[in-house]
Amino acid sequence: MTKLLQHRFSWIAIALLLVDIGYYFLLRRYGVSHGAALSDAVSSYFWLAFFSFILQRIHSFYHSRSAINVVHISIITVFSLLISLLTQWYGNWIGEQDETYHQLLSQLFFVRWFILFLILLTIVNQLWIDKHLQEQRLAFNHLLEKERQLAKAEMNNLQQQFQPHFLFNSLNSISALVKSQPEKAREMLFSLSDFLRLTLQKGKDDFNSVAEEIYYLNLYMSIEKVRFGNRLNVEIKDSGECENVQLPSLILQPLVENAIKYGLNSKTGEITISITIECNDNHLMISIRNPYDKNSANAVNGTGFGLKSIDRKLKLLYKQADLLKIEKTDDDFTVTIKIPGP
Amino acid sequence: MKKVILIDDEPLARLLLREYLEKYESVEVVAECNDGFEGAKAIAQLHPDLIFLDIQMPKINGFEMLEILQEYPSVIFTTAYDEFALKAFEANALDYLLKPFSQQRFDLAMQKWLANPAVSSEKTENIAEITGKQPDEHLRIVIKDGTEIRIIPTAEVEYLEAYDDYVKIHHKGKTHLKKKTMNYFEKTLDSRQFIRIHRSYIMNINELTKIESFEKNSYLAILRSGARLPISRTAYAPLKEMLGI
Repeated sequence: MTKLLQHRFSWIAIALLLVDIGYYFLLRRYGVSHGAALSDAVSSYFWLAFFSFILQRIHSFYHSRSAINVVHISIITVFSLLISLLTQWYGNWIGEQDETYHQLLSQLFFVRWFILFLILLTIVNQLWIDKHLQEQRLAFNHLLEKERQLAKAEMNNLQQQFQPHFLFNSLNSISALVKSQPEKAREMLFSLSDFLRLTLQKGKDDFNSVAEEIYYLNLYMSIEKVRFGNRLNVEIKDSGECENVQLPSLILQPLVENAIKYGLNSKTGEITISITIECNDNHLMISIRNPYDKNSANAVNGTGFGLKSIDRKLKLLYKQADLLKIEKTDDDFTVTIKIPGP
Repeated sequence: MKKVILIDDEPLARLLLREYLEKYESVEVVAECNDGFEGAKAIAQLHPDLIFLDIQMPKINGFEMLEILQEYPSVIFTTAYDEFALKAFEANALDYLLKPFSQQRFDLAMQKWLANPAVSSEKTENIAEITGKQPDEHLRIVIKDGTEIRIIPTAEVEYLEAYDDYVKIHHKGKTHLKKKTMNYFEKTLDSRQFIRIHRSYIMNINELTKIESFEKNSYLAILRSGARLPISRTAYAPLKEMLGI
């Protein structure tokens, strides 16, 4: 981007140079001597280039909402006046022998000032447009990036729900049940179907009521209970008061899945996952506790990808940090999420 | 009678294997195990001819369990979905069953094994090479110290030292030997935390307390425990870069 700006700037410099050469010949036509015309042309070119450069520097730091405003006009007025005064002063100094030039200088002071004003105005306009385009492009890229991240998050979300590992293991469990306990196999098939259907459906909504989330969660847990048999117990402490409170859809299930995974992985034998749901006027609090063995390496790695992505999701939705908290004691791992009220 | 052990954390998955195995009269299920620890123990005690092994399991995964075995039975892997493992199996021509699998598919695997049990057992030994490719494995190191099995979270490892055909793992004032190469660890450990500072040393950057210059152009890394490790000339620049100096 700066390259392009520099590129533009060099074009401005060349255009000014051409104008300046024209100016030299104009002075010559009015009978100004070669020496005086040349030094006038060179000095005005130098000052113009110098102040244009300053304008460019100013524009790289600051961008106004419109190209022509009080600040721009006053800066340009002052700059063009300065250039006029500087060339005037320099012209008086070198043009002492040239009477024609001397006269022209004082006659044309305001004309020169006005022309310089117009030139600087054009330059400022150009710089402003450049900056404007650059900012627009940045904003556009930013938007694109944001969109891309959202799409990615959505994908992750789907993948998380549709964990192939979960799906194929559940199917395997059904296959095992078919012969020995056909009724149970059928039941599990229904739970699995309902679960998948809801995942597809709810994945599209942004928010769900607590009651709906719990229904979904129960489906999931009934499947997991069949898979892990007696090893898995789940208890939900829910007063029922929060039933209609809204929360981001499909946020509880991954948390519980996480708890089940790390609970079962770090401990052998039976485990109990406790889910507590509480709410007041300001927010909804849900905590999920699973036992873990601090000496197990699996427990050390307990803060995995799943939790991070939920934390990010909450942050994006509520623009608030610390909505997901993790507490570890020697034998418990608790994740608490806080959902701010509407 | 051939002895078989089933290792899977889901009871129904084991039930299914048992059911499929019913018709094989020359085969007897001698144990069912819930995780890799139980599996390793049962294998050492019962010396099975064949094991059915799940990969994702509590505590240590199926590959890690194989790594700590002294003797290798034949293995038929059973897995639901595991991209990494599938590639490894195919590369090593190991047999695996994708859940859910039919009796027919199961029979195919059994026939292959019954026809040539010794060959599969050899292949199992090669599996150690596969393990580094499992995504969760750079997080922990599984070690067998005599009869004990230890899991060391890699984040807690102080440094690794080359030791003939082994690598000596320094962890909380103790050392453990693991039959792997330094290159293996250099490749599999998290490069944001571990750096090879010498042909014979890989250091945990979080353990470093200072770098002392020692003779001309040579440096020593002083660790929190007081250990002093040489830094080779070629490793000094990457180390400085990692520390941001």
